[in-house]
Amino acid sequence: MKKWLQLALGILTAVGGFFDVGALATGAQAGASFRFQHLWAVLFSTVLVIVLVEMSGRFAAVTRMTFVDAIRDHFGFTFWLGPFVILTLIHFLTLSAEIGGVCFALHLVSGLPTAAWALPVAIVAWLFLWRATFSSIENATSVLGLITLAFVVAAVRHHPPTGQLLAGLLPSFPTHDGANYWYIAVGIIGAVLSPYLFYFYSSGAVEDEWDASYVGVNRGISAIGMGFGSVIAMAAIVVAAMTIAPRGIEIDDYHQAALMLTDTFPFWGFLLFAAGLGIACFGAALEVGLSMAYTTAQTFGWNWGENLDPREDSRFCLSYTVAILLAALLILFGIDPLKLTLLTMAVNAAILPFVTIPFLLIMNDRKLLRENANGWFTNTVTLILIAVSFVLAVVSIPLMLIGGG
Amino acid sequence: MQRAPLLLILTALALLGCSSKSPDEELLDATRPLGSWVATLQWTAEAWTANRVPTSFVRNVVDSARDSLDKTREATAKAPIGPGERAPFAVAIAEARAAGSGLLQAVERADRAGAMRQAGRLAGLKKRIEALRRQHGDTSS
Repeated sequence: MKKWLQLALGILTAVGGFFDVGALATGAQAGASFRFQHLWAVLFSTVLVIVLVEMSGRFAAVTRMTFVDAIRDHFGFTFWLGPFVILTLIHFLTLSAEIGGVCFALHLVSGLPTAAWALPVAIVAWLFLWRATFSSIENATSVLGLITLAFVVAAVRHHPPTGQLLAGLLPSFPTHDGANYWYIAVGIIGAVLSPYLFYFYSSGAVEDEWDASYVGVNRGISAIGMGFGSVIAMAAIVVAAMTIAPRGIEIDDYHQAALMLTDTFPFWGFLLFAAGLGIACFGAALEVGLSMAYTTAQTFGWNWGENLDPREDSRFCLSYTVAILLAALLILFGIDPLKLTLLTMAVNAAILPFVTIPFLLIMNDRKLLRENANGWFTNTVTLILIAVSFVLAVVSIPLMLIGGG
Repeated sequence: MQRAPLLLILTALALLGCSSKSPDEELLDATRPLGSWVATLQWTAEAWTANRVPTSFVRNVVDSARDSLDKTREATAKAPIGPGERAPFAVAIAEARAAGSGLLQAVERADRAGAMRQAGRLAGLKKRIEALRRQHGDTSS
């Protein structure tokens, strides 16, 4: 396939795959409670996600290895064990939140309880992973995920005030409800910077057999794709700010966000919301399930690959099977999907250093990456952004949980 | 270096400990979901009347609103304020619940005029709740 076509497909995939339950939940909450004041958090985390995704793709293209293989080879199994346990936990919570998002979307259109959909959704997700190839999963869910562009259309048609939009792109202190403000900011950062993304992207690049000639394509996909993807996340904030905030609604429950597209699309708005949420979360659930299986198989040195027959990588398949089943059980037992999502996104930001520092260490190995190793500028920017995310998370999560909000 | 995260958490908790709330602030916190759910019910009623959402959605929203209003009533009962200050909120919570039930009945009968009447009732209630909150120092509405 020609490189430009792969670039276009990759950008489409990145845009379609960017939006998920975390982006919607945190965006709706942010817009409803603080209008445009959190746009900076999306911008901030988008810069960091572009840098990190570019790194993970560059690494896979140049070395044709995954990060986990490289970290294990360089620093040993024991060094990787801590980050792996944290990563597995966050994969699990994210998977559960995404399955919860799909279940809620189905609840919206069917009227049946959210929990009733947990096992059917788990079975369909498992069947997809069992039967489909990597590229079919990647392309189908991402193309369908473009339905979330409805949020961009709605944001534009609401004609938000330009001055307030621009002001929102700069960090500012809240005039009320400080703990909640920072908790949502951290949630947005965690939603954009889900750690699974880097491991999934790196493993995907190996599955797609990238080589060093893909370094440029990778740069285009990460910068343009993630950049456009973040526009959808910003649009969710803008739409919530224009429709939910003026009505004096604060989002405590997904139902309160479900009407946000109906002012722009009177007839289709409700269905578009449900379809956007369901498709985006289903795609993300497949990616997270795969990512969890990738990291587990790579950690223990098992055969892995979505393009292999399940008989050739049975332990890899067993990993996503168990993960999907357990994650669905959380929803089946009635965990509130919105609260689970918000907490998971905030924890994502808090654990960022633990899962990205090994990443950075490897990216500086000049023997492995030669001229493609990180420069001082990339290292400095990445470290500063990770440190800021971590500090915000560590301060705001206890404040929120213990009673600030 | 390894103590840095612990230090940050302790700082956050210390800040939290220092920021004790006044009875009015506690009341405002406890009753915050009330106005939000009343507005949600009103929006839902208007959307159903305009044929933008299915009936099952209205049922689910009313269910969620009832749960949240019950929790709000419990939280309001625990707020450190006198019965005279609590009573108007308790009345508003009861009225919100009744409006939710009225909406549900109208929807089950496919009575759009009835649903619109409940939307109007909820709009009036929302204004009263905002006024009540302003009396206790709320500046957000």
